[in-house]
Amino acid sequence: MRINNKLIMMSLKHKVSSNTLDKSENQESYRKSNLMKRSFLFLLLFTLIAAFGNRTVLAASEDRKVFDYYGLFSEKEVNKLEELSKKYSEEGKVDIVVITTDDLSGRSRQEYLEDCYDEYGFGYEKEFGTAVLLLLNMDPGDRGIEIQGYGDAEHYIHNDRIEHILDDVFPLLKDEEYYKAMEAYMKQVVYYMNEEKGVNTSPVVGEKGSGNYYGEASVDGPSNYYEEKEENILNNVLAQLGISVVIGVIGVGIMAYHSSGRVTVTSRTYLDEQNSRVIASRDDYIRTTTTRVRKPSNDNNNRGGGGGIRSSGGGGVSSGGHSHSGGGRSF
Amino acid sequence: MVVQYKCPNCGADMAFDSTTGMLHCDSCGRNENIENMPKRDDDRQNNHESHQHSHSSGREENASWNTKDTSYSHQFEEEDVKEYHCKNCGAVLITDKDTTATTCSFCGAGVVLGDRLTGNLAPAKVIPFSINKEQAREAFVKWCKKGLLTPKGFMTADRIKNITGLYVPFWLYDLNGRGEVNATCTRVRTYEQGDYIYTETKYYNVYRNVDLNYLKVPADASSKMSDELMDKLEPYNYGNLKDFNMPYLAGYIAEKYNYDNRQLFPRVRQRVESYVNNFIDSTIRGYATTTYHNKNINLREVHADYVLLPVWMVCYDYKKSDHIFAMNGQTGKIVGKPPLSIGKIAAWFGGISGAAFIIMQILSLVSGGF
Repeated sequence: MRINNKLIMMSLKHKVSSNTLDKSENQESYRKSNLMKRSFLFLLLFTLIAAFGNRTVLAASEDRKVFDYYGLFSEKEVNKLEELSKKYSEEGKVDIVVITTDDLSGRSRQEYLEDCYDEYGFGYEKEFGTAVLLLLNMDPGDRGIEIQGYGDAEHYIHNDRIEHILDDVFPLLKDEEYYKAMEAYMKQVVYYMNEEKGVNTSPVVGEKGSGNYYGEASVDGPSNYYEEKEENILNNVLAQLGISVVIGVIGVGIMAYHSSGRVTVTSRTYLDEQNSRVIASRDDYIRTTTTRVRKPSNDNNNRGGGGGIRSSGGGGVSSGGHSHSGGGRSF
Repeated sequence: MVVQYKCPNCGADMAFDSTTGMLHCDSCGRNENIENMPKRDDDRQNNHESHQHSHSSGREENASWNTKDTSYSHQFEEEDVKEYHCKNCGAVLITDKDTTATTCSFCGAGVVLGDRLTGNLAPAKVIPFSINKEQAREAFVKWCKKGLLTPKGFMTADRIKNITGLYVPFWLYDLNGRGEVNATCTRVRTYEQGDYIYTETKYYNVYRNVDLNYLKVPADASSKMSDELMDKLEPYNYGNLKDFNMPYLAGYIAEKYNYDNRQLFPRVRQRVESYVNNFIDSTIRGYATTTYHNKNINLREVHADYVLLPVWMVCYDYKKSDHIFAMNGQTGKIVGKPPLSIGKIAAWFGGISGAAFIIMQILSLVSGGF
C-alpha cells in the first residue's frame, strides 16, 4: 500500500514537472514496478508455503474437498467426487471432505482427522464451520475408515448416524468399491443434514453414554440397533395424529352404521340342522413342493454382531479445540 | 266384504289384544279365544250351506260370526278399488287396493276386508302382535334415548307423529340347497435345516357335496316396505306362528302381498346362496389357502307360505322431516335411520381420536421415546 502511494505521488510529481507528455511512460513504469512487487510477493508467499509443508500447498491451491494422498481414485474419479461434494455441499450446507492416506505418522485415525480439520479449517462458507470428514487409511497393517462431523454436523451427523453411514459404506469398502463407497457416504451425509428428526442438539461430547453408545442389544440387535428413534413410526407425532384420526373416523362410522339397527341373523339362523348334511367330502393329497432360502447370515452384517469392529471412540475434541462427533471401523 | 267383530255380550267392537292373544272387548271386558273360532276353510264348506251371512250380532257362539262370505266372485276382482262401508256407522272406509285390514276413521272400529284374504290371497300363517301400542311407544322412547349419535331434540322422543300396527305380508320359504365344489387347498409348513429355511407346500384336491335345508327364510312381499328395513327386523320367533285367522287382524292395519313367491324367489335365492357358500367354507378347514375351481350351488324352493308378520311403524317428525322406524311387533327390535347430530359426531370423533392419540403418546413414552 505504501509503495503504491509512493508511486502515485512520484507519478504525480512527474506529471507536474514534465507535463502531460510523459504520461504514457510514467504509467508503464508504474505498471512495471507494480508487477515486480507483485511477483516478489508471490515468490515470498510460495517459499513460505513451501516451508510450511506440502499438504498446505494442496489445500491452498483451491477449494478442494477430495484429498487422495494414497492414490485410490483415478483422476476422473477424483474430479467426479469433487463435483459431487460441491453439489451436495450446497444441498446440505456442509463441507464434505474425503481424505485417503496410508501414513498416519503414528497418530490414530481420529487424531489424524482432527488435525486435518484444525489445519485446513473446513467449513461451509466459513472457516472452522460445518464439515464432515471421512478418512480412509489404506495402510495395509491398519486399514480403516473414520468419519467425523464438525460444527452443525456434530449434531446432524451424530455418532449414531455415523454408525448408520458406516453400515452402508462398509460392505462397499470390503468389496473394494471405493468410489461407490464415497458416493454413498456423500449421499447419506446430505440426507442426514436435511433430516431434523432424531437430531440431538445437546453436545455429544462428554455426555456419558453418547460417545460409545451401541444400544442395549448389541449382539442380536434388531433394526433399531442404534437407537435412531424416528424410525419407529409410533414416535412420529404426525403419524400418531393420522392414525388417531383414522381410528376416530372408523369408530364414529361404525356407530353411525349401527345406529340404524344391525342384521342379527346369520347364515345358520334358518338352517335346518337335522336335515342338512355333507353328502360327500374328499381331501385328496396331490403333491408337495418345497422351496428353500438361505438363512439371513450375520457374517457381513455389522448390525448382527460386529459391534466390536468399531475401533475409535466416536466423538471428541480436537487439539485445536473443535468438538466433533465421530465413528470408524477397521476393514 | 267387510268383516267386523262384535262382542257377543254387548255388541261393541272387539279388537285383537296382544297381551292375551285373544279378541278383547273394551266395553265389557270379554275375551274370545281366536283359535276356537272358525277358519276360512271351514267357512268355505259352511258357506255353501248357509244362505246369507247373518246380520245378527252373534247370540250363539261360533254360529253367527260375521265372517261368512256371500260369494267368492270378489276374489277375481281383487285389483278393483272398491268402496267399503263401515258396518257400524256406514262411513266409507279409506283403503287402497292392498289394504286387507284397517280401522274405520270415523268410529275407530277394526274392520277386516275378508274378500282380500281368500283364495290365493289367504295367508297360511300369522304371527300375532305380542307388543301393544303403549309398549311399542315406550320401547321406542327408550331406544331414542339410547342413541349415541342422535341429537338432543330427538332423544326426548316427544314428536311421534303416529304409530301404526301393521301386518306386513311375507313369504316364508323352505329351501333345499345342493352345493358341490372342487377346490385346491394348500397346507404350508416351514422348518429350518442347516443353513436353509424350507417352505413345504402340500397340495390337496378338496371336494365337498352338501345337502342343506333352510326353513322359513322370510322375504317381505310388500312393495311399500323397504327390503333393507324389513331384513333387519329379523329374526322372528317362529314358535309363535299361528294358523291364520281373520280376527288376529282386528284393530290393526294389514296389507296383501304385491309379489308372489315366484317373483320373490331371486331375492331369497341370492341370500341363501351366500348361506350355502358360508356353510361350504366352514367345512373346508385347516388349510392355508383355498382356491375354488368350480362351485355349483343349486337352490330349489320346497315350499313357500304366505304369512303376515307384525311390525310397528313409527313415524317421527323431526325438524319438519319424517323419519320412519320399524319395530318387530314380536321381539321389539327397532330399525331405521335416526337423525345424526353433527355436534355429537364431532364430540365422539374428538373423544375417540384424542384417546387414541394419548394412548399412542403414552406407549411411545413407555417404550422409550424421546
